[in-house]
Formats: sequence, C-alpha cells, structure tokens
Amino acid sequence: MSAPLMQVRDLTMDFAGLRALSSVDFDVAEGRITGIIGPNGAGKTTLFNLIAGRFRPTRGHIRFADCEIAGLRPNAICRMGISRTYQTVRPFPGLSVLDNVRVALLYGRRAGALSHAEIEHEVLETLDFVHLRPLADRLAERLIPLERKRLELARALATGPRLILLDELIAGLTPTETLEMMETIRAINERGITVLLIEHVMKAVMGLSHHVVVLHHGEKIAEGDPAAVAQHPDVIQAYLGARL
Amino acid sequence: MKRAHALLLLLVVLLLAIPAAPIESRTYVLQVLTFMFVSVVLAQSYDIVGGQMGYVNLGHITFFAVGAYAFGILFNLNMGLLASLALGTAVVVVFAALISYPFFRLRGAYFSLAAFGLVKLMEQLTINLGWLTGGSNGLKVTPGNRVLAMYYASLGVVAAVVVASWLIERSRLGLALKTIREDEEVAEDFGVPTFRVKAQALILSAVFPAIIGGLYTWYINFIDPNQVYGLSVALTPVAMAMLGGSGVLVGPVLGAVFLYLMQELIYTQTAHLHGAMMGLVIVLVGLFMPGGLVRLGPVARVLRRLGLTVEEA
Repeated sequence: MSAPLMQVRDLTMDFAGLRALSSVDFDVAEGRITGIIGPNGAGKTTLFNLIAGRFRPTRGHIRFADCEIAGLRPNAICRMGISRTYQTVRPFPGLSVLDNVRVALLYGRRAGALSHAEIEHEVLETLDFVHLRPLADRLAERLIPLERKRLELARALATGPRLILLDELIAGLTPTETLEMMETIRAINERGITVLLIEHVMKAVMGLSHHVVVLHHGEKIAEGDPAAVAQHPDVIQAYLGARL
Repeated sequence: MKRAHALLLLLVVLLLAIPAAPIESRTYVLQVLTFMFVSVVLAQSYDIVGGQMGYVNLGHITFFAVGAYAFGILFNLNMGLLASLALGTAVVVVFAALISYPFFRLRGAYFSLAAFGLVKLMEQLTINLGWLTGGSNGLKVTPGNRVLAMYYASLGVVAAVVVASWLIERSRLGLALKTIREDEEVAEDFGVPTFRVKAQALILSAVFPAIIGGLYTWYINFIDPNQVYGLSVALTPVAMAMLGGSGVLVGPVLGAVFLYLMQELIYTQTAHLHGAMMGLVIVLVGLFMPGGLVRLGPVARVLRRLGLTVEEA
C-alpha cells in the first residue's frame, strides 16, 4: 500500500483542564473510507475540528500530503484539500443553494484555477450529483433537513477535496434515505476522494468503512478492519459496559 | 424592463439639469440636494460592511471625519483640490487598514461597540491635537463659493458609490462578504480568508466617505469636531441604511433620501420638537417596515423591474 494521505500522531487536546483527546495516533489511507466510532463524548468531533483547523492542538502532529497542518487556519487547510460537513448542518441560510456551492469553488482548493464558465458548469454538475439542481435558486433556509445535508455535501465536494470529513451525515435519516446516502458516499469515494467519517449508525459505518478507528474517553482503544473491531473486547466493553 | 431603464435615465438627466433650471431659490435647492447626496454616500458606503458583510459599523463616520480633517489640513498647505482629496483619501485608507486588524478580532455587538468607541476616541484626539486640527475652535479653509461645483462633485460620488456597491455585490468578494454575514466560521472552513476579506471591505467602504468628507470641508469652508463626530452625524447614516433596507443594493440610497428630505421638511415647515418628530419617524418606519423601505410591496416591484432583485417581504 502507498504512503498514507494523512498521519495523526500523538494528537492531544485539552479544554481548560478537560482532556478531550489524548495522544491519538492513526493513519488515513489514500483512496479509502476510514470510519471513526466511539460513544458520545469520545472526542470524535474534536478530532475533526483539529484536522479542519478550527482548534490548535495542545500537542501532536497532523501530517497531510507531507505537510504539517496542525495549527494552520481553516481556510488554508481547505485550500490544501480538506473539506468537511457539520454534525448539525450549517449551510449559509440566507444564500441560494447555488451560491452556497459557488463560494466553495471560488475559494476552495481550485480557487483561481477555473474560468467563470467552468465554475458555473461545476456548480450545476455538483448539484446534479446530490439531486439538488431543481432547487438551485432556493434559499438554503427553505430546504428540508435531508436537502440541507445534501447541500452540505455538495459544498464540501465543490472545494475539490482530496480528503472529505463527514460528521454524522447519516444520523437522523430514514432507512431509505440512509441507503441512498451510503450509495452517495461510496460514489464520492469512487471518484478518488479519501473519506473520513464519524457515524453512530453501526450498519452504515461497518458497511462503508475499509478501516475503523475506535475512540473512547479521548483515547484510541482499537483500530482495524470493521469485522475485527466489532469483536474487539475493549470496544464491546466501551459500548455495552463491562461483563458482570 | 425598458420603461424602467428609461425612468432611471430620466432621473439622471433631471439631476444633471437642475442647476440650469429657472427656479427661485436655486441655491437653496442645490444645497439641500448636496447635503442629501452626502447622506446617500455615507449610508450606501456604510452598507458594504454593515449590510453585505453584516458587521454593524457604528464607527463608519470616522472615515468621513478623518477625510474631512485630512483634506482641510492638506488644502491649507496650499496643495491643490485634487491633490488634497487624493492624499486625504489615502490617509483614510491607511487608517482603515490599521484599525481593521484589532477591530475585526471582535464580532457582533462587541465590534459595533468598539467601533462606536473609535468615534469618541478620534473626536477627543481631534480636540486635543489643536496644533494640527485647530482643536475645538475648528478648522477653516480658504473660502470660496463652490455651490455648483460641489453639487456635481457630490452627485458624481453618489454615482461612484452606487456603481461600486453594485460591482462588489456581484463579485467574488461580494459573495465572500455574504458568507461572512451568514456564518463566519463556516466561511473560513470553506477557504474564505476572512481577515483579508474583512479588511478589503472596510477599506472599500472607507474610500467614499473619505472623498465626500474632503469635499464637504471644501464646500462649507469650516469644520469642527462636533460637526463631523457628533452623535447624530455618526448614527444617522446607519439609521438611513437600516430604514432603507440594509444588505439590498440602493436600499441605503432610498433610506438616505427619505430620511434626509423628511428632516428638511420637519425642520423648515414646523416650529417645535424637530428632534422628537425625527425620532418618531425613525421609530415608526422601524416598527412598520422592519425590512426597510425597499421591501415595501410597490417599491420592491419597481426595483425588481429595474433588475435589482429584492426578495419578498
């Protein structure tokens, strides 16, 4: 296997005395889907916020495509090729669906590389991919929750990412919507985009991921292929509690 | 569509022709319109930061005031009109760039309060640097009758600020400003270099008040701190933009025209309680037209026909 796209080493984050992440190490293989699981409060979203540059880590390294990115500004990290969705969706409410996606093309990794016509073409193509093209002119605040999730996905894709961070994209969807979203995530991965996802829906995370990392109380307690991780005694204990 | 454009053209021709019109008290009409243009420039330029970017800049008037003083000082050094205007504007641009970093570390109400504090800070500074500014005695410049020239010059600045706002709104920068207004953290996550973009917006919004500030000094020959930093001077452009329709192109223009003419009417046609009546007008418009004048049905329809999109109220 080739060198990993991203290497996380000794990553530690303290919030005023609370250790949210403690010396976490793992690799994200290029072109694969890596899942992050763990009970509530395990530090999963903190991990995403560190990768995306929202927080500066207390200690540790994040190497992405052979560059140290820990502590860079979020906009710089976006330009290097990492984009994200949010656990609670955050489209720009007062902007149209079109403008929500357009800004990602104008300022993301491909900023300055595309002509005006190429940008408009890409915007529509991306909206097609998430089935939002008929709603292109609608304000984002008027979308229903599933459409907002799709819009977030479109916006993240439009930056032209090498790595996409998906934070509980499936949580809250109906079973049919879940299957559809899983197909979409696979399709994104088949375009050559590396995926790192946080998910609580076990069926989804186990079905999608090539590799799973388990966090518990800010520490990595297991990693490996999904089937092996599911059998790991520490993981079972973290989720179900100790055997009496 | 075509009729609407013809209407716009007619308005421009009318404004250009007014000085040649055979009307009584021509100078008075020109003065009223000139001061109205000054208000329009202040309100419309405020809205680049206040409306498009969503940062309520209560210190916007400092750009006008610093521009007015810088012009006066330079003009008194016997620099020509254009040189003084250009250099005075450059001073304001540097000033805006310098304050953008510390002020844009703040958001929301904290930004607005700090910006308002800047008005008082600059006022005190102007009073205390008497050797430069004339202190509380004010600053005189070589007098002259500049009514007609000022009318056209300020009309020109109005045109410039409207066109500039329109261009910004349609540009890549304009979209970035809107994303900052909507959710600044997300904007940054999606590649928008927020500090740089905010600084650019502040500098752009400072250029026009700087120019009109210089022209203002040139026109009325005398300024003092209260005249350019006073409370009503500082906050009126913000009220005008909000009542007209903040964040919508030409909203601030309408607000400025409406409030300025209202003020002129109240002060010339009634005997008492001018300030109270003005306050009442602002309160009533705010209460009954929360989206501003531009979102009023008939006004919105006309604007849409002019190709200026205004969403339904």
